[in-house]
Amino acid sequence: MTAHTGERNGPTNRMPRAGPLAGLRVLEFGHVLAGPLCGRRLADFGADVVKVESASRPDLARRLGPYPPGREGDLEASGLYLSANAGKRAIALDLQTESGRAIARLLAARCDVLLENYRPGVLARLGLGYPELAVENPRLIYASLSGFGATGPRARWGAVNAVLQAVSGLQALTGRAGQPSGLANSWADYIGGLHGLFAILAALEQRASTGQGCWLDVSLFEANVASIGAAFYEEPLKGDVPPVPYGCYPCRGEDRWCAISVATTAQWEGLLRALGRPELATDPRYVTAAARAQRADDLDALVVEWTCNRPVDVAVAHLQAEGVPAWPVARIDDLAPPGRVLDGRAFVLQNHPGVGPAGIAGTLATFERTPLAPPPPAPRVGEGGVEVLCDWLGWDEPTATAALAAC
Amino acid sequence: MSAPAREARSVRVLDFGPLVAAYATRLMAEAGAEVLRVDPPPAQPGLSLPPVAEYFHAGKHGITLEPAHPLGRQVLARLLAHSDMVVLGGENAVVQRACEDYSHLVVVSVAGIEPDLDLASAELRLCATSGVLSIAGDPDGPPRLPGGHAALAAAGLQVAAAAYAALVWQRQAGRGQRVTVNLREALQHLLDQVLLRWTLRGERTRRAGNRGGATAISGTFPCRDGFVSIGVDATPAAWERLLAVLRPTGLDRELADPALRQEHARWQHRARVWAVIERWTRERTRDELVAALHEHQLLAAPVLSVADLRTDVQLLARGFLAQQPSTGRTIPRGAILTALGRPHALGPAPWPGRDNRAIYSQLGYDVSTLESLAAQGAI
Repeated sequence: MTAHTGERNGPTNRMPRAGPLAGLRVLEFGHVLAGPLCGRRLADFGADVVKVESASRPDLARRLGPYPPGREGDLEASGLYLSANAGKRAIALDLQTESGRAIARLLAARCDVLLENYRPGVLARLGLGYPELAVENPRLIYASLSGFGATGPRARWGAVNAVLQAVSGLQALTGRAGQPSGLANSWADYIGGLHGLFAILAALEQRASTGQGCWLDVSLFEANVASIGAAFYEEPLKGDVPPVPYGCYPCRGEDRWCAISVATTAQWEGLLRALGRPELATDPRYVTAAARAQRADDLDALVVEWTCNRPVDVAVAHLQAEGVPAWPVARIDDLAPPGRVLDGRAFVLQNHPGVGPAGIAGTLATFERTPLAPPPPAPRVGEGGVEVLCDWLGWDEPTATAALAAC
Repeated sequence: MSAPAREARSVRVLDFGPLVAAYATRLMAEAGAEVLRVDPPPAQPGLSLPPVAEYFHAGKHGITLEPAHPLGRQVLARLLAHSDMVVLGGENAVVQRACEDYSHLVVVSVAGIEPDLDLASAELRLCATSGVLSIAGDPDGPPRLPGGHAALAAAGLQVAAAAYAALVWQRQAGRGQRVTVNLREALQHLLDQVLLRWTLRGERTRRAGNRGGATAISGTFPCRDGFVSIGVDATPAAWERLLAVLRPTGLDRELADPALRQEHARWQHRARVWAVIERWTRERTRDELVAALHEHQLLAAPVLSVADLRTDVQLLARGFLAQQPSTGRTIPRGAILTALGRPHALGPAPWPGRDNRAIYSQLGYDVSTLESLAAQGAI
């Protein structure tokens, strides 16, 4: 894979960002994933996102890896942190000190969006809650992302991805009866963070006409329940028959699967041709879609008997040639094989200073008039804090340096 | 003194997009946009919609329009002049070309779809080709689709975010632009953790069922009345709290190895630790386990089903649930509605053409003209 080298202007990500949100200022009090990845997307869209950490309490994501071999526990080498915080600047403020909080309040007075994902009430107890900050900055959009929202009997419950996948219904719906199952990434954090992102953008759109900011109370639990909301309506239409066969079928090789969906009679007949069983087209056990749906297990076994002896690409090609919707189940080694240039939309390979090549999330969307730029590397703790104070507050460098040294 | 608040200006969205991405325009409706769902004529009064369409199209208005018809193109022009955004799926060359005459429009192109696929096939294709399926399901079984059409919601979220980023720019710059989001890439984009493990360490992420958390000791465990999810963070202090929870049963003695205070040792021995925890959880109910773990500041929650969620205390307390008027069924109001503090519920999904008269009369068409246009197949 060919890496884009993260360019820097001096020691910080100072270069102007491109995109539809260029000029927007975001102050991020984010940690681990849902909050930071919301901030990452705003940065991708061109916003100037400043991440607040402190040297004594860095983002917990820095301790979660994955790390390059030999760099386990290195706070500047955590893959999770590098992807979720690319494109941002940083400032180190100790919010346990009045001087740190004072600088935070000054920055909040000059930003468009304040994004945080602490437990409800944490920032308010530090004098950084929405009511206080909105006095100085009535245009402020204050987005609070929390596990269960700021109110209700579970407002104080902690939440991580695994817990949210479980409590939101996703595990029950993904697994088989009596065996909940889920996704092996921080799926629930992505869903929560993306809902937070859209809420912020909707509030920005509204502010364009009203001139007013607002407080956004984003519950990751609600976001994840909303993402499976169609299941609340799940009474199939009378006469609707699901596709059969449908699902993933093992092919030759370790963890190789072919996804197949047979929804029409023509596709069923094509499947039978591919399997070398054309005579089953007139078999009364399978002649209608409803009949096939009642014998789904039998048909699955028929398909497995055929797929398990073939490499996935051969099976898929054969099925597609007979008009059967079929696709390989892509693995990461298919999506990012050695030597492939990543396109920068879904994935980008970034050459991070001090870490080397790391595949991170790309910028995804293309904008015709406000094209996006590849994200600069994620900042070190507090990297660029002096420049942030100079840019946002108009201070000179000695003043900014002294102020940061005091907190 | 702050300036008085001004009225919010409503956003109008013409939604020609595919059902697989329609959660995007549902979110816009939750945000207060007037979303016009555009279907080919004729109107189909009372048409029953499949569950995904009922959910994704809630809150929208339904109109019919044939842009390829000469009269339909005239109607389209009037719609475009009074809209802010158009969402398109696939090529849709006629509408794309018409949009070029209106520089104020945000034109959202949803790419990477196969137009003739049914919804179930389209969802399977997206999840297979994006890599999502490779990490969904149990380690000893086939990949499984994320339940509740969650992957379609995720893809729609990505579309909605890009669309509204362009809308924010339009409000400031006074000009629209074209935005493109490929749905397969939209899902693949969520696999950066998988990519990182691959590019940094050469390790391929495997399906983990319900034991796939970021820390060694996190996962779902069976209990007397279902399952409970438990999360123990990577710190030694959290480990000590877990031992304290188990101490009354004596099970803590089976985990007495001091090396287990360190997270890397827990990763190495997690199967053994999980087995001990499971012996504890199987003897207790969900509520007992959650209470005990919370008392020791450990993360825990029950595994809930949709039936559980319909009566969930947290969702009820925050007004997240509503009653569907036509069926009395309990449904979610929407996460954006609650985040924005908007108290109402979305209206039902429209059948095709339900709002033809209401919407087109706003554009100056009288009843007899509408009847003529419908008779000619233009709307």
